[in-house]
Amino acid sequence: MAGKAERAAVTYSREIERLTASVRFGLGTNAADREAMGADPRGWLADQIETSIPVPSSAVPPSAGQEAETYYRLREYERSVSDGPDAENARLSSQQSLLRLRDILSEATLDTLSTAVETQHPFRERLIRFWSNHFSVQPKNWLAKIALPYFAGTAISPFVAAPFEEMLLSVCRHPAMQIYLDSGRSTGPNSKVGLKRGLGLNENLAREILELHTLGVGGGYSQEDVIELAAALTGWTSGKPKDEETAWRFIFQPARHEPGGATLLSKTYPDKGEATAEHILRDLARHPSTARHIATKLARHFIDDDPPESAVDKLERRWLETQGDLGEVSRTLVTLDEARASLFSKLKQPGDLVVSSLRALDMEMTPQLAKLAARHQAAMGQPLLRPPGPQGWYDTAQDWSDPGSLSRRVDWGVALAAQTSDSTNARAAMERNFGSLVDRDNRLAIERASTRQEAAAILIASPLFQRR
Amino acid sequence: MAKAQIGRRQFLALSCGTALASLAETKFAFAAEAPEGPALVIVNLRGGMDGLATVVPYGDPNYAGTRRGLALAAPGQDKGITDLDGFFGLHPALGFCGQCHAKGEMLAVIGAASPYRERSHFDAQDVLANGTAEPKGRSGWLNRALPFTNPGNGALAVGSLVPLLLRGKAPVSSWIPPVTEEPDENFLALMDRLYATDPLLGKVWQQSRDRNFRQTASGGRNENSFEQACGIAAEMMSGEAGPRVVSLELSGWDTHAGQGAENGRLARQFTVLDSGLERLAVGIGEERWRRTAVLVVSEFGRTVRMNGTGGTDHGTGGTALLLGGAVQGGRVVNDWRGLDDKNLYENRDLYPSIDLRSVFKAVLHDHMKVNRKALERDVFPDSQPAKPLPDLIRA
Repeated sequence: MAGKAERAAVTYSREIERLTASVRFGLGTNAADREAMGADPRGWLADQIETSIPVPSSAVPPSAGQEAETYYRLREYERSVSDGPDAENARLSSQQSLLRLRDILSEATLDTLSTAVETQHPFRERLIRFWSNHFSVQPKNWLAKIALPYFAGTAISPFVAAPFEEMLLSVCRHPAMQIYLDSGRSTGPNSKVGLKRGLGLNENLAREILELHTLGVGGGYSQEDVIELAAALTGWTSGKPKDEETAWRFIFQPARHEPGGATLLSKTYPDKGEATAEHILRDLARHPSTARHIATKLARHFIDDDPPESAVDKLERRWLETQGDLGEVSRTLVTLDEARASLFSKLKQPGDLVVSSLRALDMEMTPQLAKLAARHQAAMGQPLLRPPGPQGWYDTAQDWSDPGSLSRRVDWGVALAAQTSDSTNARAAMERNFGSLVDRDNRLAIERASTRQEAAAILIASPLFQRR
Repeated sequence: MAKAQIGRRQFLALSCGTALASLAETKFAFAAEAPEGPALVIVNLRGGMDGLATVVPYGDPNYAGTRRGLALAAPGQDKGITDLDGFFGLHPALGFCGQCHAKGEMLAVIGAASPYRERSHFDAQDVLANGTAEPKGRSGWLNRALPFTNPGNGALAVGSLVPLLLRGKAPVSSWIPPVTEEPDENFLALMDRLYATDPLLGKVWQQSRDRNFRQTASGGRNENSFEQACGIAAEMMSGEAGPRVVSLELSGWDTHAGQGAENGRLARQFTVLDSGLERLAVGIGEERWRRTAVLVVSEFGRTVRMNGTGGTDHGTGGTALLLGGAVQGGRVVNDWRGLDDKNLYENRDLYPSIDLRSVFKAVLHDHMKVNRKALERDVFPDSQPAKPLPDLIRA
């Protein structure tokens, strides 16, 4: 009898490993995931961290001057304040540009969704989503809307296994972030341009770097530090949309750079032009407050709304040991016992629910299906590529367990099931995604459903499918 | 950041002898039982509503000259504005609002603005919602006020996930319109069973069933989605445990081009807004309407002069509307400085002469009974210069 109990325990712990890998750290389990992880779910997760993946076409910035037309037409349209023979022409051409802009954004939306559904590296995708949210960017104006679609692909994805400081630098140099938090226009008051045109600092990006991206609230910085960082960042900007050489790319403009160096967190940085801010950002990335802040955030996102102290400690320690090597920190993350102990404690955010449903049912992505999914996701309260602010999406169940939003989750299950085909196997999907952890009533409801579609709808709408 | 100067205000009283128009007969039966306590509805117009096209200063000598193609015909003329006080008039598409005004149940606040003085929609909307002078806060003033309103009052966001205005520590529900048809009752009954035992979602699911969160609007097929949302808000407010604080949203006010005058893009927006407000009033019934204040606000106003594409650009001073049986209306609250160039803000916008927080404070204190200490300390910190406007709410 003891042998039987032991075997049962082994079977159970293997199941927990599989679900932890593909539901907790992944994006729902599809048939390919199950096959790929085989008998080594932990190895499967670890291998995804370093994988190099070809950059998707959407991740490439517009080439020299591309989209310049779109942008300038739109600007002309907004700024034209005088009547005249050109007004009508400006209006007509701006309409085409507005349509083009809508295309850019809608393509990016569908790309983001399809990439996540089709990925063979769901854990890596989760990391990309986590860091994209850590460095949230909103499409707040026309420039930002053009720059946003290639933000995650160029500033985030290449760095998910790199030192955190490299990701931080790449984000701060990216036009999407510079436009969103106004740093591209920030000008040193004593710089050449500042003196000539009476321009000054914009503290927006500097404040968010300290408050959200690195040290965190209570991380030990002052308003003075915000100003010093803002001053150091002056000159960091991107080329104008029409500039052949530099459009949509980082440039340093010495004429906007505030001379005189900076003093931040009691350390003095001599003025080295562009490199001043780089030195500061590297120091911020390695600061102990940053390690604690991000370790807590990782643990809250992947483990529990109320993250176990022990898990935060381990992540923080690894961060400090490796100076924020994100590959190493991610490797530590997937081995944490705390992640297994609290399996299914997290409520999936709507975006992750949508992706995991499409994956669980092995749906083939079409533009129509992506559009339908994007609409449902918005109705659940999480429109794609539109985070509520620089702090990103909310990350606890309290923020998402709302009667209105829950109704729309269940609607989605029914709507998605209507798109399934005869080859959809909801029972297999249930086994892959719930294992034996689903309660009997729920299992029977899926097994005894009168049609394949009904079974799929129940699976996706089930309370357990809302969690990971 | 400069604070809006609240100078001497003129309260231009209404002189209007129009016969009182009664609200259309209510088609909902919910309104019969006695409603308890005051209710507050906030309608957030995203995109920047052109205040000068909403409540029109037709008495200003520079009106027609600056507005040019956007100028509306005077009261009494064909498709002319509805006179409010001999100086201001209401856009002709705002028929229901006009009726409210005539009954003393609507007032307009002219030159209203949040403390925000830049021109970004996002930042302006954040400032409007967080109740401070910076687009920084992570909670909304209305959420911070909730604990100080009558106990048991729920709050509800209709049409979107809880917006910043209602975000924060106090619990708030939301109703979002369904994308596709509702699942059938059998399916929902099965879900009742599956969710019943879920520790995290069981109660939330029950709420979604009890409080009609699943219900689509029961109105006609031709209803626009804002009207639907207003209908849903009214039904929920009419329920026994219904919310007493509701937020609604209507976007589409960013009229840079082809804004139109008595007809056109903006006029259509007004029709949508007006019919939604009427739907809300009719839906909650006369009894509850008497205890309700509806605050219609937008993140900023628009430029005074028409631009080169027949529209207006992002401005500063705007117009807020306050409607409802609880409102001491029939007036246009303003500190008018005129439309001549020298009186414009930055030579382009209507002067921001009234801090919107003065309106919010008055409504929260006089109507929702939020105490003054909480108003200054918790709801609108560092806003002492913005004194509550007197007499917006009936005693």
